[in-house]
Amino acid sequence: MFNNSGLSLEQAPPIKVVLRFFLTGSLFGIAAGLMMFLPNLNSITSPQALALTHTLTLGVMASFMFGALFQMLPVLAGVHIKMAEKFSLRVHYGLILGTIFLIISFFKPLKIYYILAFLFLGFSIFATAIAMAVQLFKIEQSNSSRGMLFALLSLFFTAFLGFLMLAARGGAAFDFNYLYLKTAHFSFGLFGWIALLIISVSFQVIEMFYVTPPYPKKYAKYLPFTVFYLLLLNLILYTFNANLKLIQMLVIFLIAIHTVFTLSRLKQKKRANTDATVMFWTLAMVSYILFFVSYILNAGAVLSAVFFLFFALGVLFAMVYKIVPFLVWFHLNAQGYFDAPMMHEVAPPKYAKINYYMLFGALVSFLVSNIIDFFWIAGAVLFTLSFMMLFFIIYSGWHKYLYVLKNGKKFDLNFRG
Amino acid sequence: MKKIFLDARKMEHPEPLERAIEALKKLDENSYFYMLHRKEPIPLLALASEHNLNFISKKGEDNSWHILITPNLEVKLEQFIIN
Repeated sequence: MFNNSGLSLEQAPPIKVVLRFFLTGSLFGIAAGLMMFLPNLNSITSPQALALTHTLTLGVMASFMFGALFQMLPVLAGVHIKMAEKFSLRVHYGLILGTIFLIISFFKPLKIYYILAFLFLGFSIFATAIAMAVQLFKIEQSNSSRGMLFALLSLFFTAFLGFLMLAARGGAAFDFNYLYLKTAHFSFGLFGWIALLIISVSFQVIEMFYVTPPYPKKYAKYLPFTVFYLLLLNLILYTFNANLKLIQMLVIFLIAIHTVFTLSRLKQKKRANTDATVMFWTLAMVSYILFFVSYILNAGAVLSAVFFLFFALGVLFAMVYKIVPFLVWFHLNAQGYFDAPMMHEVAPPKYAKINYYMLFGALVSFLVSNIIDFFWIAGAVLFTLSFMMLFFIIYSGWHKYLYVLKNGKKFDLNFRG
Repeated sequence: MKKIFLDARKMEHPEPLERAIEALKKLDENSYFYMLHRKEPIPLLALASEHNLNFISKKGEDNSWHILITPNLEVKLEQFIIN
């Protein structure tokens, strides 16, 4: 219970902290779309495919996820990140530079690029994961915050294993199976960091945003825990040169159960209206189920990667269309601006729907490209346009915020001051 | 005191927050805002705190959150909570 308990907007980071990450993430998304025109993407170990993968995972997803966490942790979990503005700016620059040096290193394998990528990404990822995890560890845990903690621990392992791989590429000699290392790296990255974060966020926002029944309590408590420890068990087995594919299969299956659960929750929402964010969530969950099926049927790495990508992007777009209008509206109202635009004016619902059909069109085009090659180009164009539109929505939200700050009229809710 | 009431328990985000802010703009010394919500609306409470309003939030027996806000700093809002 709050009772004038000192809760303050100072706990929430300035709006620019979040929007900076989102704008950069959109630019990396546009870059990723353009990289889809490169040759040799069918071979997942080609420099082009590695560059594209890391542009998506670090440039796009890490940027959006860091921005969302800086916003959500104070509001949802009551976590206060000290000096959020200065800290986030350093992390932000580290992430941008580190990602660019890593991408260059795939095309020009020189030690200097490995070292620069290691330094910038190492600082950025470890500092964020540790700072947020330490703060999350201190608070009374909810199912959502506990899940975020496991997601951040997974990010830590993903980065650590990635740096070992970077060192190995740079010529360092280690006594381990490189293939297992690579599998552990992408398992922690995809199923630990990305999927666990999506699961934790869904525990919080599906019920809150869409008025659905809550997830069962015990299920929500133990799912992130189980996924994380299975990933850890797999890593330990790898260090003994043992490979139990069953464990990875179990992890993928557990996440699939969650996506089915989420779809059933969305179907039970009390209001019949379907806004674009519900459509993005649905796209994400269905994409994961298709990823699961393609994995079981061994339908090919590219197809599985495309499905997993749209699982992550669906949630990412849904969250941006919720977070950006809310931030603009909320920060202006908090400062007393009477004529702050309403949330639907910051990101008009019809734009969100257009953006949804672009992203959905990109997915369909990539799938059809398995039969007709040309559709890969159409998918890449739609993918690039999707991120250009997202960039425009975020930038125009920021612009509207600045405009009201400069020209708006202030009001005082407490006329006695 | 005059009550401005909002039952937001079946409203989807961001309707409760938008309607709450509209209600807060109408408040005076002799009125208070009473909202029922399925979750504790932390952003609304942060906003009330930022504007030096008198507010409380309390979870009821039916798990609904009761949020009361007024610009009148003298009044004890607990007395208005409906059980």
